[in-house]
Amino acid sequence: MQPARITELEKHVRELEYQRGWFIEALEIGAGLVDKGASQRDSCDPFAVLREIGPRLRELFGYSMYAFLRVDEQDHDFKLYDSFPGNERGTIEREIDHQIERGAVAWALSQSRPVLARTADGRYTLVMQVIATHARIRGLYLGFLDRDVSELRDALLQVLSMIMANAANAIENHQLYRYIHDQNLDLERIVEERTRALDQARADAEAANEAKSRFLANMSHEIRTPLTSIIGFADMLHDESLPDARRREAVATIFSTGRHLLEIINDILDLSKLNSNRLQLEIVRTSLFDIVARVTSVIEMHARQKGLAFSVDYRFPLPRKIETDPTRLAQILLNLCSNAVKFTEFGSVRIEVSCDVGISKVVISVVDTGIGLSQEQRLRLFKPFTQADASTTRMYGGTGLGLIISKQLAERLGGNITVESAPDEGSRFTVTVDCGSLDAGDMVDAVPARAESVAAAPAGASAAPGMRGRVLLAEDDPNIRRLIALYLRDTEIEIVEVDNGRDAVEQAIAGDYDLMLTDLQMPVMGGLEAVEWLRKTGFARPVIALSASALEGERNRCVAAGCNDFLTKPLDRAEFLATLGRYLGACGPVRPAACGISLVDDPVYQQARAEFLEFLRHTLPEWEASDIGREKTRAMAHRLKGAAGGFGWRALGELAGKLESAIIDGRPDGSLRVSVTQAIRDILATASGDGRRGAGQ
Amino acid sequence: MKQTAITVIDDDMSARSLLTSILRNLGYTDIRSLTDEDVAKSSLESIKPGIVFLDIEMPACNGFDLVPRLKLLHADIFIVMVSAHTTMDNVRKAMEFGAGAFIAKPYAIGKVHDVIEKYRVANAGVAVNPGSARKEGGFQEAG
Repeated sequence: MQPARITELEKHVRELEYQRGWFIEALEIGAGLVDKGASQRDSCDPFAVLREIGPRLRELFGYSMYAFLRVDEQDHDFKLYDSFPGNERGTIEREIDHQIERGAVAWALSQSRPVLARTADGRYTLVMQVIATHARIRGLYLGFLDRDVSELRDALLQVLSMIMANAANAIENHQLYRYIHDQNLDLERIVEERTRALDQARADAEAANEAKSRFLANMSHEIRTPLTSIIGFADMLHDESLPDARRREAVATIFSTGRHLLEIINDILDLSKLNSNRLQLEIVRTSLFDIVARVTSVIEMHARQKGLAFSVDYRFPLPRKIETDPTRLAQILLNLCSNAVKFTEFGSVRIEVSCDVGISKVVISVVDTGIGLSQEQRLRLFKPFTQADASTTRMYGGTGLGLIISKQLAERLGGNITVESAPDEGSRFTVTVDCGSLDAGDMVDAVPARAESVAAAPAGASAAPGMRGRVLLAEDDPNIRRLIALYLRDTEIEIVEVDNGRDAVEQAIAGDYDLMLTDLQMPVMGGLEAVEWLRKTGFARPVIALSASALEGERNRCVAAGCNDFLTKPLDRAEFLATLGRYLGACGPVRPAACGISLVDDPVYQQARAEFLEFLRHTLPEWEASDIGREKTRAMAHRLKGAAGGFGWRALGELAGKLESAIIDGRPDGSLRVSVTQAIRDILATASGDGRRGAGQ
Repeated sequence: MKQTAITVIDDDMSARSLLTSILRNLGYTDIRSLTDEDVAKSSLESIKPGIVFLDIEMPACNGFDLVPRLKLLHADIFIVMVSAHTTMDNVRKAMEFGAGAFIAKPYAIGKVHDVIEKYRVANAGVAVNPGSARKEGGFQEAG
């Protein structure tokens, strides 16, 4: 081969090797960008990749100068991001402005391929390549070549496009990565916060649960103690040989312990209502003096019985009327006062009443000269079941819940209870409550006359022992049925008992009652449903509901269902009799005047009765016949059941009713048939002598 | 007040007579008494609006079947279902059929009075608490 040829080939090989090196470098830049996204993830600047590829591209293409423009996320304007060389920044910016004015930049941004242009001074060829993904434009690359444009072959320009497309993707990847990363951090922070809240809630719930368990354990103890004595003493009564005196003592203990138990249960209910915020206050305008008088009327007697001095010290001027819940305020005062009497053996109990007009609060102190409290005891005072010491419970009784309830009530009434005390120096409990807005005209300087009379009001109406009437009692608990029968033993009331609501409906309609007493929770049908049905049918007799539930709104539910009155179990004997007395007076039940009518002299009635007797006489042979078939017997019995009572032969009607149900139920009916037949014979025999019998029950 | 028209439908003659007698003594004069045969074979058109005492168990027709027919005749008619069979099923059915009241046989005057009172209250549109209508006047048990 000729040396010239060899030289030419060698040159060609060098050229090809250079090109190969060039393309490898270009590919590396492009491929590097794909990884760059990953390696630079910790950096906050997604455009940082551009700073890296800038110098390598300059070398590869031989640019004298270059610049990257980036789109600003905020105002969508193009900003100079990076440029080379640093000292030519002004020149580059001016050139960019020039190209923008020419429209070359806009053109370059709309093309995927590089756009070439001459610089303003004609020294450089400008290569502009958009940096964009499919979705959006990220920026623009500008390279300044000081050589001729023709040197840039299409392939090279394509390589530039590819690199910039990769750069755009790397930028986007980085941004997406940052976004996901931030989201994850947010998520982790939220999960952490939630977990903390959950831990807190669980700890709270556990604490509450523990408190509740403790409370229940205490409760169980508080309830078991009196129950033990009730059961024990009741058991003692089985002993026939027990002397009367011991017997009376046992009964008295059972009674007083039972009362105490009821007190505990009522206190617990109050407390649980307060704790669950279900206690409804009834704030009304009421007389402060009446409330105090009501409390003193009860306490004064207890204090006197114990030989204690008792006084009320009004610090005038005081408001005539205040806005509060009188029942609850009285409950607080009653509790504080009865504690004072309970824990004081010698000396006095005094109530001080004053008013702080400036803050619209009434301030009432109960001061005693009793055993007092140590500081430690004072701290435990308002916690459940912690009477200063277990032995005082035995000595003084009480549920230990009264003060807690009082304190919470006082808080609900817009005030508080505070205590000042030292052992053996007596105690001063002070309750403050909101009393509503006051003006000078409301204030008085002496106790209004009326309040004194309230204190002297009689305790309650006494029971009427001479009550008469027919009472339907619906109650599934046989013990309560026995108890009610016992309560009514001295009256002339006739009781018919049923043990579910359905029987109550059937019996109330079938029979003729002056009053119905009904339990609420019974099998088959509840008491309220029964009353609703009865009222629908036109049953108009009074109904008294007996409820073991002390839930708020129970009374309203009963009245809505059609009950006239409402009693809670355990039944207080006096209250029970007084309530019945309102409906069944001493002179028997009060009924509509129309019911006084007697039909005996009515000709239509007399004729109907005569016809019925004729019917009986007519059918007697059929009754006496040995076999007329069950269906025929049933039909005849049905007729008698409906009619006989109407003419005063109630017994016959009832017998016929029994016979009819026996046949329907498939029970043996032979003896009932015989009884019905005999009853008809008796009626016919009597009627032939005496023509006039009554009707109209 | 006592001008209310009252219809008594019952197969039992003595029951019809007794109720008529009670109603007359309560002061009602516009009383019509029909047997189950009467209502089964003829139309009900002659029955006036007001109160109908309707027996349930009758051989020629069932009382329950008459309720819708009577309601069709007079929408406001007040039907008192009457039965010696005071089962809960009968009570429930009567009320569901649209009866205004339900009383048992044998009739008690007080109860006849009470159901008419219910009609009166319903028609006057005045709410009266049942049981509070009690006034003075002793009730004599006869017989």
